[in-house]
Amino acid sequence: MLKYIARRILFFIPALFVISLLAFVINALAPGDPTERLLPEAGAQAGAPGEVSKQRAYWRQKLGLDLPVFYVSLNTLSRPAGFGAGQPPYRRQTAERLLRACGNDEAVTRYMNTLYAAEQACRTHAFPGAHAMAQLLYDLGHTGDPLHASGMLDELERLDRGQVVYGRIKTSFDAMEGGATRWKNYIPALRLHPDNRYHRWLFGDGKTSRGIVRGDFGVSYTTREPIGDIIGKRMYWSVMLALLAIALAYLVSIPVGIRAAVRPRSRFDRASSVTLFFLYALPVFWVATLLLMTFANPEVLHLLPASGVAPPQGFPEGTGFWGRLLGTLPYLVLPVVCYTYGSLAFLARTMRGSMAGVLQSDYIRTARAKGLSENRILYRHALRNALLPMITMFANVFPLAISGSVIVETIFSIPGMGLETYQAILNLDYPMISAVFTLTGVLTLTGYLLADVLYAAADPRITLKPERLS
Amino acid sequence: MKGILPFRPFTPLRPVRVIRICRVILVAWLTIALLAPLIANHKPLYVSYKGQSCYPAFSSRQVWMVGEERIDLEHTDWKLFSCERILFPLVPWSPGKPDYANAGYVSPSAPNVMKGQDGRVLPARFRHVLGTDKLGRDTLSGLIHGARVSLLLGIFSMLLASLIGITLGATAGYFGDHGLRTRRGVFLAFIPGIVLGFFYGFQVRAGVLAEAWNASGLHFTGQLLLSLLVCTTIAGLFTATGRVLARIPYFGKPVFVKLDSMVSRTVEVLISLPRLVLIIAIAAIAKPSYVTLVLIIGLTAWTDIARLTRAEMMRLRQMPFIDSARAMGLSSFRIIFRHALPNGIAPALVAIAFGVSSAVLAESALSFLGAGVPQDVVTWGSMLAQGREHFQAWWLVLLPGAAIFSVVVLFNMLGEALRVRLSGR
Amino acid sequence: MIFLVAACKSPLTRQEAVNIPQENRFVALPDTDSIPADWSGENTVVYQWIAEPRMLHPTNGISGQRQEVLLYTQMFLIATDYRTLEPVPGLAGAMPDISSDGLHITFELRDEPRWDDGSALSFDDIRFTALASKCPLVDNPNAKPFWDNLGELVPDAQNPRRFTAVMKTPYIHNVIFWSDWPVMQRTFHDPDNVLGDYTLADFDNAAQEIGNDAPLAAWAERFNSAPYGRDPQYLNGLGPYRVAEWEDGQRLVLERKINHWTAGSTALNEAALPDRIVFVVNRDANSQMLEFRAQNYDASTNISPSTLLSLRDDPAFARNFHGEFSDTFFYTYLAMNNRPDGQRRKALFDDVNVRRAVAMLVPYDELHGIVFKGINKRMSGPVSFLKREFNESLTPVPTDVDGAKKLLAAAGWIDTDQDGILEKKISGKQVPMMFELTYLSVQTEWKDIATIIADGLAKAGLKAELRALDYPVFISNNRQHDFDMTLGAWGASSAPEDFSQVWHTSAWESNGSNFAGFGDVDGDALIDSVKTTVEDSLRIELSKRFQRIVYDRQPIVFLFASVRRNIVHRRFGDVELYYERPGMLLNNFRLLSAGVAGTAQVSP
Repeated sequence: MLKYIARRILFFIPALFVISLLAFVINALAPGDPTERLLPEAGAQAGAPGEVSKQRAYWRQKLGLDLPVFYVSLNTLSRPAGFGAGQPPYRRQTAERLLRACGNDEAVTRYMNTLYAAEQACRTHAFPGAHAMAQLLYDLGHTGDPLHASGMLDELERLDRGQVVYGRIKTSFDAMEGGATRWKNYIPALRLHPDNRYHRWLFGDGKTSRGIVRGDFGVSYTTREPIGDIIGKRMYWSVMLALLAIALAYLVSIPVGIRAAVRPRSRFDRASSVTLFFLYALPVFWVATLLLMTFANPEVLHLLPASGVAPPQGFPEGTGFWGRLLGTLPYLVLPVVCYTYGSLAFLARTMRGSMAGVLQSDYIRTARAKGLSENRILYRHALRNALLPMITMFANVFPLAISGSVIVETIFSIPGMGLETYQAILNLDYPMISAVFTLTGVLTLTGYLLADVLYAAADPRITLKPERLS
Repeated sequence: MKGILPFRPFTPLRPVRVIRICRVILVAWLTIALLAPLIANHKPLYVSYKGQSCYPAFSSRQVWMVGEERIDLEHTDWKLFSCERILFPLVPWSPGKPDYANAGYVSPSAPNVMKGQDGRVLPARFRHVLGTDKLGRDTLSGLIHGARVSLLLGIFSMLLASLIGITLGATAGYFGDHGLRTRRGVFLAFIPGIVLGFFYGFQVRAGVLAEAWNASGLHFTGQLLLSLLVCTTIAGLFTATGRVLARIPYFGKPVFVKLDSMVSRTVEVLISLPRLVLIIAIAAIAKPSYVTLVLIIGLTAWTDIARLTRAEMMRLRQMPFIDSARAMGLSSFRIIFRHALPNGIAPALVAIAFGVSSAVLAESALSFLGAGVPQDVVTWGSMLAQGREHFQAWWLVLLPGAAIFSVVVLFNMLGEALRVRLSGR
Repeated sequence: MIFLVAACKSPLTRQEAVNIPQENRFVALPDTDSIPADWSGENTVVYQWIAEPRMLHPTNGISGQRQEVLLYTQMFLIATDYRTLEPVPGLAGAMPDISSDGLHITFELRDEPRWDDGSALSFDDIRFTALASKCPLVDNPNAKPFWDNLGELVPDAQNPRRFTAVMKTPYIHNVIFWSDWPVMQRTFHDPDNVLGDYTLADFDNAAQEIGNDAPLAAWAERFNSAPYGRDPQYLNGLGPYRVAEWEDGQRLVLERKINHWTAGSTALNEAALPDRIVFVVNRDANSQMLEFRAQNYDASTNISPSTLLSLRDDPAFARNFHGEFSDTFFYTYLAMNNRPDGQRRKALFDDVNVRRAVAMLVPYDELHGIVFKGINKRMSGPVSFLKREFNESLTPVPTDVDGAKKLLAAAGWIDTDQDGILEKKISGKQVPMMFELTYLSVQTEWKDIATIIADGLAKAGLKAELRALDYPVFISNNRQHDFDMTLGAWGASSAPEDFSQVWHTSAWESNGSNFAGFGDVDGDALIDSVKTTVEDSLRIELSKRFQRIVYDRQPIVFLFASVRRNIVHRRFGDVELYYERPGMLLNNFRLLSAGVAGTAQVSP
């Protein structure tokens, strides 16, 4: 038994590693530039354009967005690690396409740089035909097909009478196409990168962060707040709601399940089953709105507050800890109900099934034969064994505490983790998203470990030794 | 007899009757789903004009030439079209087409503004039986077409999930950690094989895959399958080489493939990814399409099925009939899929049934959030989301909710009844 | 804000501009006569918004909500008179003197302003504000462009309260930009005077290596850190209110400062009538309606038009609240990609006739009736009709399906294969008129607008596929010109129109806000003239000419001007609704439902 636990905990660490890696990679490879969030909004007041690209470059460098993602990378021989880094996504795509066509990364990079430099020169220096040439060079920078590009180069030659720009570009283009090493696209190459984004995430970049291994989840891209603080503040409400929801769920489903099991096929059994199924099938946002418009409506039933976790102005000065706690409860009633009702069906039926099975077993029959009262049988003998599956269910509910529910939190204006995670995704706040994924993973794994261990501890019939086929 | 649980569960109704009722309702919904364009469409089923006939609802063409006259099948106001004969579907409205004359949440009981596009009066037959939404789209039509989206989404995603889940669960459960043996040579050859297979299948083809991703979900699936083919071919080649290598004594040593551990750990890791969050994240990257949604839901829902199948398999492999099959010399895979699995599939079926209903609910949640689903398709979830804004429009709140409820309950009861029926046998 | 300067030889004085009657600029809501007993007598304004700012840093951060709060907690060198929409002196004693070349702008600071620790406002603080904003290590990329034109700050040797801002080029916003950036206290933010070793020019020409200066890097690290944007203790400012409490995701509480130097002032930006201002977050429309019905909230500009309309019809609500729509300078538009690359995005809308056809296919009446509930007015060009420089000769493009079809046919788009979608032969290939119409996924109004527009376009054979995007992807795609057609909103202000941000070709080349790709050399030259012509009547002439050019080229379809939805509880009087955002100034709300108007001190 201890060996089993030890082995599972040992597995914990690589599993955690894989989860964190997954979370990190999903976010790192997702397109969409987080620096867009930081730069001037369209619709902001007037300002000089041109600053924008300078700022963007600075931010990409500061956030380390152009480093390779992981320690090793398996890629084609033609594509080195930093290929296309620092360029706007469109140029990077063109570069990739050209690389796939020609296979020699240095020549491709040189060609793209020449193009870009020429385009900038045409834009800043006014000479006849500069504008048209700049436009053509821009289009060339978006053409990833060498055949198409050579056609456009002929057009460029025609425009560039002085052959100033054309010559340089043609040379680099010929170097790229002529020296094409397409075979490189089919040879795998394993490369090592000591400095990469994952390493920085784990161990910090030496200047601003200390890395996850030291407990520093990093700093949110949007608010520059340490993520640990953000999660801590928001988790408080998500955990409170989750715990209350779990408590309510068990409080309701256990008695219902027992009653239904004790009196099978009765009206109660049938009615409760149908009602619980019915509840399971209702979408959360619908029920939430319905509850809101019924119980928080001054025109219908004004029993509960409509939003938030405290009065709009906060609790009055001098409210003690208990005062605040009790004062918060009315605000949590509707959200907790919304969290709970969906799982009632499943929990109650599990309880009923397990109880019914236990009631049929031999030792219960013996107890009945011995003449013990029904109640005593029920609560002293049967219940303890029937509760086992319910205990393991509890472990599954752990992750709810951190993921929360964006829908419930939006409708009731609860400052919990769900909304925060949703916002982080919309804002491409990578450190935040990675942190949430990792935490969810930790909690889930812990939950499963607990579930298996509890179940094994409670039921000696379950063996955890590996079986051998004869 | 014993099912997966060591006790006999109960149901309120007799399982056979429940299954029969469920089957009828399921068939009804499926029919509605499949025939939706013929039940609710603003184009008529049949029209006869100047001697020529046409079937607009069935046709994908947009233009009908009658002599010199050019009739636009999509935009003509059919309800006021003067012709010899015209036959409309049951509900003469398309779900996405706004009826501006009746915009602004017309209730089912309220009088409709019966006007055609040019202002002439429409016959009463064309009223919106169940009301309209903010832009004047017909509710009944939305319900019918919404069935199509929800059901097809649920069924296809669970098909994918069951394919993966049952295969992995059954093999992991049957072989455990010590059932599958192979030679060391093969094992050692397999690893570089799969790595290179991945390289050639996905990295080298990254460009092609990216273009297909931008084109459409279907294109992408096609290219993905091709990549998988490349990957498996290369891995297969290496494995074959490994077999040859196994002739050498050092490489011939038998090793165990820890299949059970691998599958269990993968399942654990996958479970910890929150599905809704994953969908939203992917929706931010890719063009939202139902194919993508089916893929994501299918690829994240197989874990429950796998775990249940695995548990069943672990129980069944100790049974005498499996021993005798093995003694008879049947291959492992034949034993699993032809003999053991049919007996152990009951809990997986339950999970599949629940999975379909959860897929339908997930779609409605996504429509509410506005993420991950195509925007021009009317679904039950999108109708609910609209109804939520304008609570006085009870028909937009109650009716789609009832529809979702009926499908969800249907599949859940089907699952429950199946479980009882199969485990009771 | 109309900047009134004569660009002639004489030193500058205020010039009377074209007279627009006062009442056009704002709406004054009538005060209630009778006070029902169930109204609260508390001198606190509870204001609802749908999201809170991520931080209240004086220079970092971009959200509109941040600007709203900073109006009450900070002070600016130049303020805005929201009633007349003209700049008025703020921390400066009078409007500045401007040299004849428009480059030397001389301010004189007032004597009264005091920081919270009692010290007086000085030139030191102004200098620090400029330095901190320009410092490359400070996390304010959105602010940097506005400070770009400031070259030097020269204090007056004789008068320590006078200083001259030396600008690099003449620009119509050279004075107004001071009204957007609060003055920061040097002794609070930089007690060791690290920035004192640098000049503005140093920061202008800074290279990447400046990050290696240890003291500067350390200072920037601290200045950028979270507490300076979120912790009430560090949110320091000259305004009449201070941040008393900030519960993350719930509420932000401002309290009037005791013995503040603005006490008793009635200027719009200095008044402090409510004791407290509480900002609450509520994102759900139903929940907002319920809270207003229960009188838990006092004011908002963040409710949806349908909520306001349904509340206005309710007599119980109307008894307790004012509910009004007011005009804004914002507008919605449908942008088309005028300069697609031809591969990723097909050349569908590069022909002006095609664009004009699109403009004629948009069902304006349906949009007006269904989405905008008959309230919003049409925009005809890039400048709001509220502004003096609006070109009245421009008329909105009407819906004309037949006319649109003719234009499309003339441009070569014909439905050759009878599938209902137009095609055209481009570079030898048949290109169908099928494209993506993208919009922001936040509000459902966008989806409705997009649906109606798509329906209208389909009538002429243009097939639009709707796609909702989240903000970062949406804005990134638009800036990279990776779109066919997109729905957007533009937030203009009352300031003189500077067309360079949206209509200059450099704003397209540098992946800025010129999504559509409008412009050419002549257009750019005209934009530059407008930008640098400080003389008002000349500038207005040029501006009108530019508006006509934009109108003729139809790079985007101008849809409707946005209206602001205002709710204010009737227990407050002297309520005015302004065109300029935020639309209402909460610090001027006078409580009617108490005995005496609020001058009571708030206990700390």
